[in-house]
Amino acid sequence: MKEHVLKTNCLTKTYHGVNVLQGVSVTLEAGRIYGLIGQNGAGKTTLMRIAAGLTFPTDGSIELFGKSGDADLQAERKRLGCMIEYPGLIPYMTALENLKYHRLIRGIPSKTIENELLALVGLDNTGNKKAKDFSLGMKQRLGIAIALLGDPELLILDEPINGLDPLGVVEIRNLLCKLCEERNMTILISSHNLPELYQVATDYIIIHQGTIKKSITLRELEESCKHHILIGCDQPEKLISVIEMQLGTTNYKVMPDKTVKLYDYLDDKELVARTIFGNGIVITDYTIQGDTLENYFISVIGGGRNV
Amino acid sequence: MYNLIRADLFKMGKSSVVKVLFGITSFSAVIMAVMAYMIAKGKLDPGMAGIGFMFSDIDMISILGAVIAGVFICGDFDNKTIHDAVACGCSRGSILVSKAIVLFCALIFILLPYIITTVIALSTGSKFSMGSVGVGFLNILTQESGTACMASVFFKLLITTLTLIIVYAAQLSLCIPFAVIFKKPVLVVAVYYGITILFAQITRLRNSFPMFESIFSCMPF
Repeated sequence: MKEHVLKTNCLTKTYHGVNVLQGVSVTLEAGRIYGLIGQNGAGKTTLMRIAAGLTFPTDGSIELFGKSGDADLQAERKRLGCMIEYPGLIPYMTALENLKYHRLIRGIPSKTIENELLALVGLDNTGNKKAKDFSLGMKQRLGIAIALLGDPELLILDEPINGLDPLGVVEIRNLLCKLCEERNMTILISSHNLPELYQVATDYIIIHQGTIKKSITLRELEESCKHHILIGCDQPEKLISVIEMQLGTTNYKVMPDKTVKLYDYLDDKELVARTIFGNGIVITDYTIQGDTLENYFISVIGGGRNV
Repeated sequence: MYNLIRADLFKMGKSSVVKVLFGITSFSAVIMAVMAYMIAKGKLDPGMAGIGFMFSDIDMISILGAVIAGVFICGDFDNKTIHDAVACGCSRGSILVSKAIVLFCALIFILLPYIITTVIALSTGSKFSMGSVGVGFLNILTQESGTACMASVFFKLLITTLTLIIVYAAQLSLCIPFAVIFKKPVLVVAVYYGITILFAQITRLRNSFPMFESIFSCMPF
């Protein structure tokens, strides 16, 4: 059984009578990268803040590394690193000094860790430049370095690629993947950049108006988003036979409602239609389907499909 | 909590605000001593004692102490470093206590010029006077100057210094909840300074109303 790093049970948070989170139950397993997707005000940051102990839930419970209760949660939070909303930097300090300050707070004795982390996030050549003079991207990098202090087992990052240049985005993406693979780190990451999130996350949690709309793995998402010809007909068995024998492909999937998803011949739809008709099969549905993560997200939260 | 204190002391060491405030108190301490010396010598009108009082520790600390509390604590809310402390497993109580301890360390640091100036002034054996407005270190200068430089005077100075530090620390402790509530340094300074002025006026009622006497006997004001 996989270890649950973070588990929330019917989490509710109310601000001034408005439910920001309503009965949110999520479970994060070790060594996976979770992409938290939602519109502005959907409750992403509130969920992260509750996990980090920055705010308390109105109702529901939270478990960190299998522990619950205020004292245990507080102790277990030493095992997490986070950057929520924007990085907590002291403006008149350099990158190295900022890291030292946060290292001291965590009581980490190693003095080399600061330079190692700065090198890891690509800030090793900032010298005496103060944090107040950093670009947004540099601040984000430093925030990530701070979050990585103490080798956390759970990393919570809220919009970490905001303000990063394209190269920086790739570097941070590679870094997160490396951390997950090499250190079995669990990462909860929120971003509005869905194509970017698609390249880094192994699981997705879609949150909308304070409720979890969908929790889906990358494989399930790819399955849902993969472009295909959806064929509905009166003789599904015969259709499968035609696809295999006459079209010569096994790259299809029969759905529970007996419709068939054909992943080949997307550029030659007419051939497929002609072949099926030629075998006397009556087609009830024949559509091209498949989404990007954006469209999938929009469809899940109840917007128009294929917007 | 030890880690939090170490981190905050490191942060304070890097802050230019504390250094600037130290410079201001150094300048003020010298001005205070010079004015007290000149008034005693008759080179300055005793009516200037009111202005001299403005440079005294009690007046400066009520402003600068609040500035430190405001900048130091509110700054942590502004740049969210206080959130990081919570998120890495520090309790809110320990964060608050550590802030208070570091604030009092900073208070001692900015009080140092007054302590040093008073010691030097008393060592000269010259007469200093700031009239009836002398409180705090100014009072020590006024009361003890001109007397023989004896060990008992310095012992008295040491005890008074410690007492003053405790009193200032107790007074400034009010800034901590203000900083947590208001989260804006300007508000902390304004409200705290307003309260100190208000209390200074109310203390005059101590002799008329026993109730005020009993209330103020429990307060650092």
